[in-house]
Amino acid sequence: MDLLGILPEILVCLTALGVIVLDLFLDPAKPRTGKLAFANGLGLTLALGTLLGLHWGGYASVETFSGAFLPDLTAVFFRAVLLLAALLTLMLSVGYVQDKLRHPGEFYSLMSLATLGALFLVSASEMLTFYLSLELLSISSFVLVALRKTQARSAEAAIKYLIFGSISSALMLFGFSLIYGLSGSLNFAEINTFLHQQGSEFVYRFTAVEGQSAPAFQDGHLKIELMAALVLILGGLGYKIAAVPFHLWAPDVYEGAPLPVTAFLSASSKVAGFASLMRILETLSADVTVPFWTRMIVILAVLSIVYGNVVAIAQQNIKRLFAYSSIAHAGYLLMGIVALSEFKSRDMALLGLHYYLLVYVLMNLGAFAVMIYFAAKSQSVRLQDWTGLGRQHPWLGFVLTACLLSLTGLPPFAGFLGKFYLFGAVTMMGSQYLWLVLIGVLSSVVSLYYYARIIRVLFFGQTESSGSSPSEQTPPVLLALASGISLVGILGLFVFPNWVIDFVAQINQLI
Amino acid sequence: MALFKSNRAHFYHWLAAFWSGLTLILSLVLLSRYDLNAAGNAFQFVDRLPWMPQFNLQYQVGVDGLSLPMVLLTSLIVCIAVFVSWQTQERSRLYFAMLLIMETGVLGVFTSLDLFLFFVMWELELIPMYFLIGIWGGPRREYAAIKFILYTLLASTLMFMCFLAIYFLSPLQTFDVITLLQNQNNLLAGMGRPLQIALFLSLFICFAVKLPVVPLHTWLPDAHVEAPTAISVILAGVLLKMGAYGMLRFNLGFFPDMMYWMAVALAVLGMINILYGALLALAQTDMKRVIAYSSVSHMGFVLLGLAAFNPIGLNGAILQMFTHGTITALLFIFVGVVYDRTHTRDLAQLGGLSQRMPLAAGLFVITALAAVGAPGMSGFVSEFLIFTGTYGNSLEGLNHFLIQGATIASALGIILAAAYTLWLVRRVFFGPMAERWQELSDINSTELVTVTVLMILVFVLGIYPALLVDYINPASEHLLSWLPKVGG
Repeated sequence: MDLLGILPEILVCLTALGVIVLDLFLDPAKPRTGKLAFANGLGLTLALGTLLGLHWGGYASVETFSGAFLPDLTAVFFRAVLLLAALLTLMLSVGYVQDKLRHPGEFYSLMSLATLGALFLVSASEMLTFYLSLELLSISSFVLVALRKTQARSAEAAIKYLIFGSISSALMLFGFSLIYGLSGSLNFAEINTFLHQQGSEFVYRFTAVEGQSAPAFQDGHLKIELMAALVLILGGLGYKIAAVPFHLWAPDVYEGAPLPVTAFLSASSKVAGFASLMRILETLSADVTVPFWTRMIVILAVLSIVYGNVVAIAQQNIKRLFAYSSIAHAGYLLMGIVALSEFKSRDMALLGLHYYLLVYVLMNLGAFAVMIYFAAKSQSVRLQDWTGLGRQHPWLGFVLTACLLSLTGLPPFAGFLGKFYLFGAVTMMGSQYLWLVLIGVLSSVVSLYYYARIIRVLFFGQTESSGSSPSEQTPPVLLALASGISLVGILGLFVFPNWVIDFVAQINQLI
Repeated sequence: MALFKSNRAHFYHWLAAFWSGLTLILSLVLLSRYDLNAAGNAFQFVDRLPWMPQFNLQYQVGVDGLSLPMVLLTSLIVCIAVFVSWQTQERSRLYFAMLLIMETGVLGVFTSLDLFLFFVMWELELIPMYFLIGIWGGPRREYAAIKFILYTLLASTLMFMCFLAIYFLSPLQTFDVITLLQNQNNLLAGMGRPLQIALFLSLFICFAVKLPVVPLHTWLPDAHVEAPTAISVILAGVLLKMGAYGMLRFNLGFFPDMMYWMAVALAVLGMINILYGALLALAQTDMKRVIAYSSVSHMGFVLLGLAAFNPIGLNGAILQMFTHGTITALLFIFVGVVYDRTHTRDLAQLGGLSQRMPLAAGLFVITALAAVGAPGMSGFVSEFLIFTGTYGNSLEGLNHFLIQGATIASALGIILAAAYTLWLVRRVFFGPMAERWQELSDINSTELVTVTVLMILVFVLGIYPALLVDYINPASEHLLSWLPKVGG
């Protein structure tokens, strides 16, 4: 038992419970959001500090808890990103929770629990832990979405999310059980070894016809049991990352959920989904399976990129627009996953995925921080009601613009470098994948159109400027801080990406 | 090089003027310290900082005879633009910040010696331009702004693809322009010919949009018409040159054999640009549109000069980039002068303004003559060089005569240029004057200074072009030194 390895998780768990207990003892008549948020933030900061301290203190990564938990460098990276995302979400949520939610204690504690699930998910190294963490994340998210229970939309979204979520995790569980049935093991490493050694039993072999050599086993079809397992598992995770065609819940849930929850779903949930997808695919990668899942991921990627970007054009509701934009971003990231499948592009793909997920958290949450404030100001999430808000709040308008341009992938913001790494990785695979890169970059241009529409509304609109002296009301400190961190992050990571590159290079060496 | 500090500026008019002026002075210092006697192929003042050493990415800048005139032009035009926009009151802080960020981007484009940095700078220039057109523009500014940025971005994604391919698929695995230039024609070794052609064309199209080459030019009139005066000045004076610069530096620099292969196409495209732009300019009723199409026409000469594949033509093309920058800037300044006073650019409503604005009228006539390419002014020199170059082009056989034919046809463009420019002068400044223009004042001192500076430059280069050609010539000779079988 190595408790040091999961010390950050323990801290997060204690935070979640502590916040509930604290909520009991606080006087409900007085505003208590601030205290709860402070307690929660303290816990998360401690956890993040512990995690980084352990890493820099030279804590070695070993498999612990009978192989259930593998806090390797990848896991360290993604846990740090997840804790950062939780902290940012916390900062940007304070004002909203105070005004709109009747249950601040529940919000904070559930958010911590969901984060806890995500933390375990990215470092799980066997299927049961994996599944349980995923459920912890999902169930907390269902409740979070339903938190404004007096609102019909919130309840509807939660039900949709719940139904989609349960079905997809049931299917994924079926996939796991198939794998277990084939390999006789739950442990990722053992499954991988099994597939490497005996994977060739799961393809149809063609006997040689006169003169012709037998087709290599990559050319053979995968047998149905392994194929079904792969499809089911990818489908279950595809739901988590909202990739087309498993995306149907996303727009409605994003729209119905309270704004901070939407921010949380778009950031933490996505990071956890991708980190776990990377790990699962690594587990399931063997000569026989790689061509199959690569083809599947290519299809998912193309569909997500094209569909997300094209449909986002027509959206008037900011939340829906971001739902589709997050679908599109899942597509870009899936391109990176595609590039994982080949050895020569693997390093670049790993770098791209790590870097882009980190940057994606920063730019998305930065955008959400500003949008939560603007939504509160205008009492609306419809784009046309935001006319001229950027002129009234130049600083926040600037942050939102920077985040949107970064999401588009324009320099000098980190989103550009992220796309460069991802697309570069796919280019490295050879010229037969250039068409995929072409789709990616062309869709980025399409995405500029709808992001620029937000910018246009914010700045170009002819407001009557009636009594709108600039910054007549200053935004909450924490929210401004969150937006500031994001801005510094996306600019800083553009100029100094080296430490991420070095970190990922370290991961590669270990592999 | 401290040129890149300019985006640190704080914002108001004087500060903007100070920073852009400082940049101008610095680039003049650069010009004076540029070593003409060094070997023609070398980049000078190379400044290098590692950025992502893991990928051979670096911040690397430097100038050679090709980029130096462009740096000078940029800093000059932006400085002028600051003075031209002296009247801008609305949100001036943001305005000048954007202007200076754009200057940073453009200077970055002209000096960066790393493909990655080049692309970053190329895009960096787009965002401020989007805001500048979109916030301070005319009535249809939002449309023009989004059209501008989508066109250019779509084109630059092609460039991005090409750079990715150059980096990842070539054996060199570097973005370093100096290294790449030393390996011309080997960049895409190991790739199929169709892919090579596709990459080359995608790069070409990207720069063709910026130049702009007909039929990819439709963003230009819209952007010009809607943009405020100073931005039109920069757009025509500097941004269009980025396209031509890119063609010279990358298309010609990296793939000279393919460029050579499509020389006739270049000449024909140039001819179409010249004639089509000129004809459309004749048909416009909006002053700015006339000049916008004249830009299309004049940039055609650059293409034509490229097609010559001899140093004379190339010198002419580069010189044309510079002179067109100054002359078009002048033309747009005059449009701004007229528009500020009359609030219309409609030719039908204007006329006879010389009675109220004699000085402006006189200066405008001189500018118009420069635009037409009257001897003694820089336009004449560059166009003369281009025609001489293309007529004696270095191609052989049928292609030689085809390009000569294109040259002769393009010469018609000069006549057309005379037609639309002088017609413009007549419609605006001469003829009967409408009653309501009685109150107009003549050109003011700020405008006079900017105009005079540019005009002196036009005359000096017209009389003594060697001033700039001395810098350009080694670069263009070097650019052509790799050509296969350069004939007499």
